[in-house]
Amino acid sequence: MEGVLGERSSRQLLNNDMPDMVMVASENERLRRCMNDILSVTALPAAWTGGTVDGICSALLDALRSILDVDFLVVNVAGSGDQAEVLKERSRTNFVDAGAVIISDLVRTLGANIAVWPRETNVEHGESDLRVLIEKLGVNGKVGVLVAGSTVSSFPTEEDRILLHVAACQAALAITEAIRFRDDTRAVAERELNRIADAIPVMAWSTLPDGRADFFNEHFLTFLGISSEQAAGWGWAASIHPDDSRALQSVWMELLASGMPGETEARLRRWDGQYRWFLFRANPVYSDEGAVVRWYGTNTDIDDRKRFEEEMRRSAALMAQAQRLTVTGSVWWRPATNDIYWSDEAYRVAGQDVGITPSVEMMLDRCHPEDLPRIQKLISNAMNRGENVDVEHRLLMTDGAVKYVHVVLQNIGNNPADPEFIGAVADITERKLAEEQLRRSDVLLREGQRISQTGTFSWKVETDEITFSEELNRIFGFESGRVVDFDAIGQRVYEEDLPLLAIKMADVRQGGDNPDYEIRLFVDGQIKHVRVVGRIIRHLDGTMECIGAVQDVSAQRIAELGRDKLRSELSQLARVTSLSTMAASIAHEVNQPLAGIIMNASASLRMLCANPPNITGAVETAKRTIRDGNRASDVILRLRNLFKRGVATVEWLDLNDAIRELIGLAASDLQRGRILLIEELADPPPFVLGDRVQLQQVIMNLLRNSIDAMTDTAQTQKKIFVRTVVGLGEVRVVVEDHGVGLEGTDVERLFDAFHTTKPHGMGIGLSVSRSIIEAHKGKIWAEPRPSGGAIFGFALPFDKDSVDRPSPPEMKT
Amino acid sequence: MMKTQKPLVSVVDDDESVREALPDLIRIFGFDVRAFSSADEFLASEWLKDTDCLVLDVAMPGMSGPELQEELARRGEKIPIIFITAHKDESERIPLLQSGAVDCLFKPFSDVALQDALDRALR
Repeated sequence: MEGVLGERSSRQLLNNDMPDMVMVASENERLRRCMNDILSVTALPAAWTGGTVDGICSALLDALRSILDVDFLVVNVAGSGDQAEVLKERSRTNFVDAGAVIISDLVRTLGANIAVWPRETNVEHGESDLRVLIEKLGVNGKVGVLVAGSTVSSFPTEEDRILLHVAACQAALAITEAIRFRDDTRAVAERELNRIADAIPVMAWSTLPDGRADFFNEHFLTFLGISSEQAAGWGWAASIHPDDSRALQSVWMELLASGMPGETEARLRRWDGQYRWFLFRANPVYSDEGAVVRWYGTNTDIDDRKRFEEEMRRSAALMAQAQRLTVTGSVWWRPATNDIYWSDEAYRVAGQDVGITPSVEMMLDRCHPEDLPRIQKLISNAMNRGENVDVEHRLLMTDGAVKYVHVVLQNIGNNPADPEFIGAVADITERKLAEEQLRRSDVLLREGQRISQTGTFSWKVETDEITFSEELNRIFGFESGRVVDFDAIGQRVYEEDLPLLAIKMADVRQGGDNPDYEIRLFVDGQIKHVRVVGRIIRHLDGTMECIGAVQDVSAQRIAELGRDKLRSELSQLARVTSLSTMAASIAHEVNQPLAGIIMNASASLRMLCANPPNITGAVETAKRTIRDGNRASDVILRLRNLFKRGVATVEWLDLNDAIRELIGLAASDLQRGRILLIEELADPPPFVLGDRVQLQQVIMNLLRNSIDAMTDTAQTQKKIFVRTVVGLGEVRVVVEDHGVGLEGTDVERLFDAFHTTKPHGMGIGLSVSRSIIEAHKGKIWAEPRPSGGAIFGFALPFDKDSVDRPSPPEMKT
Repeated sequence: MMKTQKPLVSVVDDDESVREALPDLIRIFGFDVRAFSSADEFLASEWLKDTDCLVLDVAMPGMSGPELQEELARRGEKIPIIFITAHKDESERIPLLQSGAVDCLFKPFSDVALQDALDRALR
């Protein structure tokens, strides 16, 4: 370069000072050198044949540097496809690396389109003003640009222009040729590569350095079901599973930034919409300068592996969960090497910290002292003889709690001298406690059955398989443990109740309601009353089972019979007592018709005995005699009904009618007591279902009480009201008097047995009345009359529709 | 209506069969008879003044037999009274006899007993 600068000073000297001859010679010399320089430049392509773009540029600059007197030379070849641009320069010391800067300045000031750049321009570089010559490579600078610059104001000379232009033309041709050759070679290689890539049984791909995909092999495209055009760039990314997209993108960006190979896993959507897992592997290819020029990668289908891994993970989780739920740990033990494996649950069952290395000592550490010798012997046998272990024992935990475990060890080793055990250790504390509880419950149940005389049974309906508890066997008089069948049961059931048993069994077989009935047994010459209560259960297999209890209620029934008998007798006593107090009234009722009979008969007799006999009169009086006889008979019949002791007869009855009958019997007493009885009876008459005699007994008791209460009063107008009132769902019978009232009387106790307010009363009338009314599902009460006196009444269930019942049906029980 | 020559016996009883049977028998005995169902009916009757003997039921709704007896005494009517009653209660009979009644017959009574009482009343 120094040579070039020396020549320039000589030429300037010649131009200014030499005479014409010298000038001509000098001009010739200049032309000659110029020609030589041009020849040198034009000879360059011969040396470039087969060279690379890089080499051509370097050689061009070296040649021009030896010819031209410039401060810097720079050539910039544009990049294409995956080829980076080439930028080379040759500069003097104070312009080192100025080329790239000046090119950038030119782009900044003149624009990126080289085609419009001027051929010459001025550029400021640092403190220097440079004259710059621009030679475009190829048409409109498509190949690149050659730039030369100098601080000399006369630059460029005409020779400089010619030389640089010729050099640029030569270089453009050579570079173009080199690029074409390179691309052709690469295209061939790429096609071959693609052919190979398509043949390999994995999904292969490549991308540009920025990550945009430019190639997918056939496997990849077939899998995605899209064309290479659709997949190009980032088009393939639409097939990434949404859940994996972000992670894959992150890894890929990291790889692009680092330029290092790497891999990751993600799911891709197949053409049919199904996602499969792939291992993405990417490897970069570097240029000679170390820059990434391309990425190559493969996708390996790992879906089966992933599913297997997932399956394994799930199995392990399920196993762990199952162990947790069943409180059962798994164990592996090889005594020869003293290797022991415990699952996490095994640690928990043993009360040890998860993770510490298990040992035989640790296995025995928690063993209950009372169980330790037995367990040590089993462990010893397992170690020395390979014997299996299946034992339940206790653990004594650090907090003093006792835990029950079931240990099973199974020798799976082939060598007797080197046993290998797999097994399980289960926490059976709850089961043990439940068993203990069950044993206790069983004892309590047996005792409870014995005391309550209640036995239990189960009956499998389809097979007639019957099980009796011990107590039920005793109730039926069966030997303990005998097989029970319906023949045996039938022999114990009281003959009259066999049809009932048959009906109840048929009901169960037909899927009817849960049985609940009473039946009689005949066991050892005695009748037993038993109550049978069952529940029908439908099993999952569709079969039915009736499970229930049978209670011996004989004592209860006997007591009830006794109570009923006693109540009946008490009722009878009350009735007789009440009637005895009405003897005068009754005598009056009987004597009235008797008087008529006797007077009519006497008259008739005298008429017949007259002379002449008065036949007509005798007949008339005889008829009246008969009528009065019937009347007396009616009275006696009513009295008999009231006095008789009999079975309760339930029938529809007219309450008003029953009341009137009673009032008739009490008429004489009312008269004697100077009492006016006022009937206020409902119309239409209310019909109720009940026992006429019993209800009349209640009415009589209430009426009798009112008459008694009125007798001792000094009123001039003594009144008793008897009412029937139809209410909502009930009919009330009310007896209201103006008598002495209930002052000082404990109303609550009025209806108690043997409680009386009368000097000579027995205290059974109202008590019996209450029993009767309650047996009729009614209620009875007493209350003071606000203006003096008392109100007694009772209410019976009443169906309004029965009001209009023209002829009530008779119902017998 | 005119009173006959026969003594008039009035019967007061709330029982219809008595009012039917008793007059027939009394008529056979040879008396005139009138029957009334209550004391008030009798007191309001024009036969009150002509009555020679009163056969009177003791217990009746409204005014009873003894009350009618008192009422007649208060009016100054001195009619012989034969009480009849279906209550066979001797304790009631004595005060009735003490009050001036001819007799007190318990139902059922015989025709002879009635005739005897009437004879005594109308003697």
